[in-house]
Amino acid sequence: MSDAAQLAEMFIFRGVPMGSLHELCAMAPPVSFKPGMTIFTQGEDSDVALLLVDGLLGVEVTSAGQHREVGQVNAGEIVGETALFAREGKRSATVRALKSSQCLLINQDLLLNASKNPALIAIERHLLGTLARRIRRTNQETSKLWKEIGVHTPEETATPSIASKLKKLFGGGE
Amino acid sequence: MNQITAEDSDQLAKRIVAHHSFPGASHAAIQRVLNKGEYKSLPHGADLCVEGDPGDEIFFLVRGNITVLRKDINGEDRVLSDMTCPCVFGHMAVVDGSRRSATCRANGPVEMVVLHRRSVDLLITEGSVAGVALRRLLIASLCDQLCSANGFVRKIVLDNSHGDDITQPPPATGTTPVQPAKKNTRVRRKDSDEDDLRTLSLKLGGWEAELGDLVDMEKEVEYVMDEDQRRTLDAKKKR
Repeated sequence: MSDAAQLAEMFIFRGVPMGSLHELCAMAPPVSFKPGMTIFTQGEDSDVALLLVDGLLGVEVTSAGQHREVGQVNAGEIVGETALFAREGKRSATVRALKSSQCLLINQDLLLNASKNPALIAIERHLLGTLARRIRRTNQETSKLWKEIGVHTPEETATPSIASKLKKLFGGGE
Repeated sequence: MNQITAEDSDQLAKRIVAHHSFPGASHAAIQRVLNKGEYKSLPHGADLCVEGDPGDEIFFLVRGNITVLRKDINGEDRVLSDMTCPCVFGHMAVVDGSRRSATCRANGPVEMVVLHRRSVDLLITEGSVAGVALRRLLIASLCDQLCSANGFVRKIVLDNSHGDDITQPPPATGTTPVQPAKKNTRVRRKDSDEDDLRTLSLKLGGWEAELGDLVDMEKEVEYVMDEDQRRTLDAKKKR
């Protein structure tokens, strides 16, 4: 299967003309990574994002000297976009190939030279939705945090404590 | 419909380009976007958008200050941030069709350009100069917003962790020794509470580890399918 045909099967490229996908592949041929290869390294300068076409990537964070796998990237997902669009230019996580993987490298050149390509527009629109969902999730976590903090604040006695909620849930008296 | 003056549009576009350095950012392209919007001015205290309301407009602040508020668990407004020119806001609800996640209130008189949904929907699908500029400006703004939101969560966690190490991995339920109750809980240790405290401690440990994930991984992986993907999957299952 050609690179463009492989892209055509991806959900984010639904409705994108085949010619545009061929053009995209000509400008940014998919790159392969073998299992175990490091693609991004936390703390390094960054200038490229990835669209995973096929395979599986793992995301790791080193914090306080401890390595933790914090997530995986599945086919059709984008990773590393802040390298191109955010003011912060350092990688905040390490990304490795967990399986043999094929990725489309999205860099400044591609964004500058293919800005009218419907395939690239599809990637950018996909990114918009993805970012909005991530922010909503972070906002939900903020609300949860406030709730938890409110529960733990001594002056907010009217709010039931976690202990009392657990007692109610699992039984047991004061 | 009122339009922004050429002079204001010129100055705002220059400031936006200087603030968000996305690929292909150009002053002329941003000006084209601004010219598609409606110019408005509002007095001090006016709400531009209200948390929970549907959102059909994107705002570009031309002059003045905006306070961003969200309601806490007690229904009280909490200030998330203050925004000054140049900033674009209100775009999340327009991008994903969800309700406003915060209230934006004028802190003093403000002037802005309002871009309505119908214009946004057209522009973000276009390969025109204005379309590319708007799409990438919104992506850049969302990226910065995500970094900032993660920083905000990090601050709350650190302010309330009382020195606890939130970077430790979560305990595996059933195999990990009981964690001590966190210092900022109001739980009194009693022998009869031992089982409850064990559950509470595990819950807190897992909760903080989850937050550690959230804080640490700004390039976090998105597992959530969008609505179109979900519908397609459901249709396949039915077949």
